[in-house]
Amino acid sequence: MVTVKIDGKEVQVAPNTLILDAAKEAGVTIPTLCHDSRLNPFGACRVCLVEQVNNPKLQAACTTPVTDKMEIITRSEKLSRVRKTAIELLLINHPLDCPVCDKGGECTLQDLTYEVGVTKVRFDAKPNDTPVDHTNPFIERDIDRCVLCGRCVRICDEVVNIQAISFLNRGTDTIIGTSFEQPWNCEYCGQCISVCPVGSLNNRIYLFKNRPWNLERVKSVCGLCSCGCTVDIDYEGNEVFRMKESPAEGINHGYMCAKGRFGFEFINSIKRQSEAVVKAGGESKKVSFNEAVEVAVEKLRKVKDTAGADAIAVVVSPRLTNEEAFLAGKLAKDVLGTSNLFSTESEEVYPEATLEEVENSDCVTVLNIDVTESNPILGLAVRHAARMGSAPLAVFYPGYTALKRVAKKFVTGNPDEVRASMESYAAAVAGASNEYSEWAAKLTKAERPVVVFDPYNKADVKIAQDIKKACAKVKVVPAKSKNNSVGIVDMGFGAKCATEFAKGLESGKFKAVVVLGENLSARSVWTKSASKAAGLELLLVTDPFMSETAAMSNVYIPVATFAEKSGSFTNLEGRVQSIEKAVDKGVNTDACVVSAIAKGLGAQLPADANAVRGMIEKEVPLYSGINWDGGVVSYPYVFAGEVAATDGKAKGKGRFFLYPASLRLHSGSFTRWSPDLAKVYGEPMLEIGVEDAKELGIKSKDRVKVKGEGFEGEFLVEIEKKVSKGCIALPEDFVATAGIFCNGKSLRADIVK
Amino acid sequence: MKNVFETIFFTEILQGLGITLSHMFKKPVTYRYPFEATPIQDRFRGIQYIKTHADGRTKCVGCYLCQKVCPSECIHIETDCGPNGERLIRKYELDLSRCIYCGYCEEVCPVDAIHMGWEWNTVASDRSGYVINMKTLSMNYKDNLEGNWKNKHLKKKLVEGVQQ
Amino acid sequence: MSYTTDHVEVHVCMGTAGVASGGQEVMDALDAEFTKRGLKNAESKERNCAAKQTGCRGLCARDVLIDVYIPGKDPITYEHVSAEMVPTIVEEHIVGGNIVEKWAAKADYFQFYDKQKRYVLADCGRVDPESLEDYIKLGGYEAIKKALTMTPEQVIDEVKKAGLRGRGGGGFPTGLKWTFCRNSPGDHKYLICNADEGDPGAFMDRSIIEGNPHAVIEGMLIAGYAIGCDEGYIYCRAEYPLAIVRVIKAIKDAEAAGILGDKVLGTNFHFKLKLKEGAGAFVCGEETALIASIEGERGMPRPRPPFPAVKGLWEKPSNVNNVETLANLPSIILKGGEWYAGIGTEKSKGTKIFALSGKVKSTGLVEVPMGITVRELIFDVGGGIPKKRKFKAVQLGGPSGGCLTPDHLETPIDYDSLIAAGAMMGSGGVVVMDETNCMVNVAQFFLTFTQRESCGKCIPCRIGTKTMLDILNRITTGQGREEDIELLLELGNDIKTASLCGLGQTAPNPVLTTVKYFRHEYEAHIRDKKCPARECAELIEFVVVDDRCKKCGICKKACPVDAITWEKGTVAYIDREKCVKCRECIVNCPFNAID
Repeated sequence: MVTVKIDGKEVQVAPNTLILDAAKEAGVTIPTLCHDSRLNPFGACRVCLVEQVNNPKLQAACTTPVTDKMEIITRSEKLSRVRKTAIELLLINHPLDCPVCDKGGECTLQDLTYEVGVTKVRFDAKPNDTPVDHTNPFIERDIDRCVLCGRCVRICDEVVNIQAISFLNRGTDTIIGTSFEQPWNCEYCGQCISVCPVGSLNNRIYLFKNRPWNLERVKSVCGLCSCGCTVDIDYEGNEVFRMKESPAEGINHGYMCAKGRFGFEFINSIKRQSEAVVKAGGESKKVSFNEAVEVAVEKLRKVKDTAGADAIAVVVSPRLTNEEAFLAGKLAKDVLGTSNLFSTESEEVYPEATLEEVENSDCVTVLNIDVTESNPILGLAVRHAARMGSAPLAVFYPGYTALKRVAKKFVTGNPDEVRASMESYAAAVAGASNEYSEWAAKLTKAERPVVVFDPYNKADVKIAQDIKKACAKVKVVPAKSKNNSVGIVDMGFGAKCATEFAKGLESGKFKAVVVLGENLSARSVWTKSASKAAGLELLLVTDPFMSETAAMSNVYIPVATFAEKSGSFTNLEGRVQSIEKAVDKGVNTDACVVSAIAKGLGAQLPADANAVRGMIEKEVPLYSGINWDGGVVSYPYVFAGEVAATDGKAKGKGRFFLYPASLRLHSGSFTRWSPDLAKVYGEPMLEIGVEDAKELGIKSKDRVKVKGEGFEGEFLVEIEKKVSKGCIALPEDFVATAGIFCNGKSLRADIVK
Repeated sequence: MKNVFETIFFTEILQGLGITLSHMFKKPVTYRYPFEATPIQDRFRGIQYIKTHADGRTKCVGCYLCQKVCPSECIHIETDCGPNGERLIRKYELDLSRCIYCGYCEEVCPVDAIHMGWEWNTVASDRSGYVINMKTLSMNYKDNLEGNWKNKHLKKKLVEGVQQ
Repeated sequence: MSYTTDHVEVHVCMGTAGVASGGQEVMDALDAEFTKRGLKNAESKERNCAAKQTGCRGLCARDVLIDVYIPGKDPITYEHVSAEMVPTIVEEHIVGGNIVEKWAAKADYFQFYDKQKRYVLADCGRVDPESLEDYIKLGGYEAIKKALTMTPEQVIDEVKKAGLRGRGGGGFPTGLKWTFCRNSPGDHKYLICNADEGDPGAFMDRSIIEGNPHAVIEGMLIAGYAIGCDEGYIYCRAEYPLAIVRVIKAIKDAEAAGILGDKVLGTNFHFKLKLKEGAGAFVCGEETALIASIEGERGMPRPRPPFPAVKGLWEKPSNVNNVETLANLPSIILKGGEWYAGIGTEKSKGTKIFALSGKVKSTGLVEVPMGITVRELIFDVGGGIPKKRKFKAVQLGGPSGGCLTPDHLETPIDYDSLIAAGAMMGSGGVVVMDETNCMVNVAQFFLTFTQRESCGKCIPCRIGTKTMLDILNRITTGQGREEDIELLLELGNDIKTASLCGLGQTAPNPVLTTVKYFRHEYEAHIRDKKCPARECAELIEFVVVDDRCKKCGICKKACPVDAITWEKGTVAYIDREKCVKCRECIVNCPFNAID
């Protein structure tokens, strides 16, 4: 520890702490413009200059580490003059269009202008005037307002590692741009927007919609993938205007992905339903919430009386909160008396490593999943480990992913080859000597190795388990897909196999099914049997939208999205985090639906999240005494017993290997209601390699038929150089493709033009 | 003695009558409202108008500053992004029944768009008539510019004031 | 000077200036002449003449220079040689034995060398830069052989004893810099030779590399051995094609001879050397930007600490030295640190090479001992100001340096005295100005350069220098405002204190020093809208002053647009409609008759 004196206040800090951080410790704020604590020191803006006693040179607080007995002065006449000059210089070329700039009101340059007290610029103003760039569907780029702090360039390089933008030209001509002035080609994560101190990079979804001072804010958790990012939901009235990062907070450190940042628009969608629908005798009728509940209750009672409680099934979606899932379980078990609780999740695999452990790992292996798309923040953690921590990263995936840039080893090929490679790798970890021995040694020698895998692919789970068995210090990350995939299992919806529900539907065992938020047609396990649900005595579906399943239902109740309710989600680390209600769209939550049905059946279930939490803490041992704001559940095991060896070989016959493509900004289920995400990727596209496309004479945007054993479909073609030769890929979660992947995760197919 | 004289000859009354008589030949200081309109001073703050560019586009950029500054919260704005990335004002509403004519909106406007006019006649048969929108506000500008006031006392020089 | 070979050798200056003046033609002509006369017999002792290319010998103003070495006789130098003159020289001098007096260098040529002490440049102009054998013949690579018998610490001690300070401009003690890098933990260290010489008017490093590349390589070997580096880079700007060609050849030759690569000269010292071409950015002369550029990144300086000695190239400890610093090393090792410390002043040891340019008779490269006065440099070595004009100022240290006035002529040239006077040693560019130079224009010229070369990273340098330049532009075009001088001073000082790297921290110097010493010129521009030196075209009226005009008609001949009417015996008249304000008439008028 060294002692430094900042503005007369003495503090003890660790050696090599930056002056800026030491000042924070001392309670002194130093103005900054180009600094971001998550990025490497840059020292460009010179606003944070401070005086060091006995040193004639000014020091940049954001780049200079403290030394013992250092004395720092942060406020002096000289410093305010230098700072003022810097801001004045920036204001020469900065177009003063604050009234129409989206950043106006939360702009660092505005704040600094006030702070240093610039009232009149001594120099002649020469505002830039270049056209605004709209080549990126989500990011508006106005280089006129740019102050060249380099934060966007640095975050795109250091954190996202896409390097989509960089400095161009030199001196006063310097601008931020893409190489060779090409259109933006990036992941659309919008990290650059989040760090831009001025209105140079703007969120096009929020563009010109409102001003920051009108917005109210709640801190919540993103309800899309299972990373569980802490986000700020900015709203006015009952409209969500933007979802943005909570700076440097949460397990995501203030990073977000395209889905979270730009995909929230479904909350405000005009396609949202507001009235319940009851179908009787082929006729749909809009009814009130209470009427719909009454119909449902009556039918449930009738089925229970005539066919018994076992004829009733409750299906929940992993979008539900823990509290809602718990209530649904309560309703099923205690009120209806059935044990038919289903979801797409299973309790076979529990979370183990946290994102922090992934970041700090010294050897990372990614098995057959494109985490940068499925769980982007987990992807960032993997990249961080591979790049900043320089952990050797091995990736197995049919086709290249964005991790190619940082991976020390990238094993690709067709799915069968990749599977064989993964099996050899697992064997090598277990001690066998083969081509992967060298890489296996890196894993076994590492102190904090991490393995990321896809928990929905049985064959992958088996490999992950084999690795874990061979090397106990390996921590695994099952990359679950949805925001509460883990939580609903904890609430009892993972005990039964999802296929059992499909069988029940097929056999006609179930007469009444309560579907909370789930879209059966878009789930590959259920899609085939989904049509059977249409003829049930009762098919109660709750969903914010009129999904395919909701359209089949005889009782439909519109419900709230995650921004309209309170509760908690458990993310892929097993971390329980609270969400906060921001807006009210005039629809009930799933908790209200469950509670109302229970009431109709003569039982009392609370709908209030806090009351339910009390019950959960009592009844779910895993959650007893849990901290609802970030507590990590300690699971009894990672793998539930020996995973049966499955034949992962591609099924069927055909020229091409067909595998589930990595998600492209969104899956086809929920986020497809976001108009802006859909603008970029609207319908499932068939990805095919350049060579194969050439051979077949297929061009981008052609429509081709994919035919395999037991399935057929027509898709738009996207030629993607990352896809290996002899392979084609389709996204999994679209209704149009769920029917394909119900046959297996790895298939063979032919392309018919 | 003087008092007696005054008492006998009612001099004070005559003086009073004299004043009355003199006023009979002066112009009246009152106005026979509503048959006659009252005069408006230059700095009178009446119903707002919003300036337009020569081609008829409004000068307002929808920055929300008037909405923020308005003490009686009578301005409501909604903006959006147009198809080519331009700023659109979806809605600009001003509720005259709430407006206290303080003129803060005029002062805060960064683009010199909203101004206090000289028209003050807001009488309407129901409340919805008090909510005026961008179209009306722009029309007000035109009226102010051309001098189409209901209040005929507004003089030409005020027209010049608007043009500035 | 005596020469030890038994045959006639003609040395032809083939530095960049030599080549540009027709050196290659002279070489070819000599060769052809020797062949024609049958003088090219390698075996014969009498009829064995050869033309040899050498590097720059300094006095570039008189290129092409050739030296004729006849065994047993003093070498004779000829100036301004062209291919046509070659047969005569060969005929009369080499064959006939009579010196061609009319072309031979006169006393003023030797005056140029009188006060110089050429150690670093000693072999430039003697050695064939493209021949390793020639370098070795002249005693090359002896210093590294000697160094390899010493311990690295002894080598560093020797350099410390010599008191050598970095010649790139900063003047940091070289031995100390090496110690930092040597003591920095790391198994792999880099030595970088900074040959990215970008100052306008400076060409020292270029001449050294072009004239004697092996000396630089030898210096790098010594430094690499002392620090413990096993890999070196020469970062040379791509605008020096001849230097690049010669360095590449030298590296190849040295590798073939076992001087570079694994096991240098059979010892356990390994040293690999690579050449990296710069992309023409002045800022890449700053060491952190240079390192970024070698790494393939954008050439932008980064804040220090960490210093390159701790985390430099590829995050490894690195040491960056200037070409001239490295070229000093062989003689220090051979002759000893004490010998070197005997030259120069108390705090600045050794010699320093300057590139003399501007309004001085003998422009070229000079190597003078530290402590020589500005007057000696300009008037004795440089031969004074041409056209009998008055000396007005000298810009020392390139665009980052400052202007000195006639009052400073007695200032000794060493690191500390120059800084005290407001200038700096810099890389060694010396631009001399006479009374026809407008100081505002000079400041504007240098600022235009630094402003264009700013990397754009930090605000003060990026926008500040541009703003200063805008103010200067308006002053020189007659738009100056009363408050502009104060604004320039305030802004200049803020840029100096706030900038990130040396480029920005020194960029305002030319402006600040010219304001300091020539404030009246600024005031004349602003208040009277007049340029006293008549250099700012916008402020000149282009009128012939009747009583000064001697009716000579030179201005008419000089005018490129025929705007001047003159007939014999009349005062010239300038048609201002036609005049394009090119200033040719002013420059050419011997009587200062145009205002």
